[in-house]
Amino acid sequence: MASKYWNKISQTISPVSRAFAKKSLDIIDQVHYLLDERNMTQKDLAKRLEKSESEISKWLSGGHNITLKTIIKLELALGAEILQTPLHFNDEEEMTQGKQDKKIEGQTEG
Amino acid sequence: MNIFVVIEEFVEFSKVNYYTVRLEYDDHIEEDSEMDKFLKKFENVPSETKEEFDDLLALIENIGNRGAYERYFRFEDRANALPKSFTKNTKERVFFVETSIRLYCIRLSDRIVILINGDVKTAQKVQDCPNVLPHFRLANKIARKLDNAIKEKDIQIQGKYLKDLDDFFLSL
Repeated sequence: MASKYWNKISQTISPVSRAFAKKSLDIIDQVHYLLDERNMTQKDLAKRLEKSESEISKWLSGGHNITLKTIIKLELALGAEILQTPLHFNDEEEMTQGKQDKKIEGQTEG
Repeated sequence: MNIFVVIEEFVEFSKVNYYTVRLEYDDHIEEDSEMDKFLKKFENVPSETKEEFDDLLALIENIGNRGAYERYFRFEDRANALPKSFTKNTKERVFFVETSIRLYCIRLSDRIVILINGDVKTAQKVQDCPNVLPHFRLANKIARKLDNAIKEKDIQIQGKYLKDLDDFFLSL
């Protein structure tokens, strides 16, 4: 049976905190998965990023407010995407398609 | 005065069962468990601390639904603590600062964590912080005793659960 205080206080956790916890642990898990897949250790990753091992360990810790730039550095060092943007606006074809859609919309409005 | 520690269930999630401890003395039993004391401490705090506290609770919840993996925890001698670390950003660089809240705990496995107690940490070294030092010490004392109890099979881990808790206590 759960503690009554937990039941009471856990209802006040903000949606931002919940989403933050989920996303930060997702990133840690994904990096650890990629390290395993590549038979790499945190030490190897630190070497690639020219950082200290303790710094990498801090990057990869729960509740860590990781920056977009740090994620990109990790992506480059691991050679894989960690944070995905599903619409892929940098994709040439989709960009063109997107522009065409806008043009069509504009024509309709006109 | 003798101090005894009783382990009790705190909250169960799909992947992790969180336990906590209650202290018993020769003449009385503490009304609240250690984790309940921790929660009560942060009930009415300023919004900045409340945000950190919320982040910590959300972390406990999320770990509960995915597994208490070692990588999520801070090592604190024989015990553990949450959260592991936070960063703050400036225009030029990222630098690491410690979040002010520490919750000491004992990660027994990927499925079982014993949440103890904690507070706002006001010094870099735990030894220099009167707020968290007693909780750090208590968590480590319990961790050492529990280690022996598990080795002696006085208490057993079975998946997400600790077995034979009814008659079990640790003497500090």
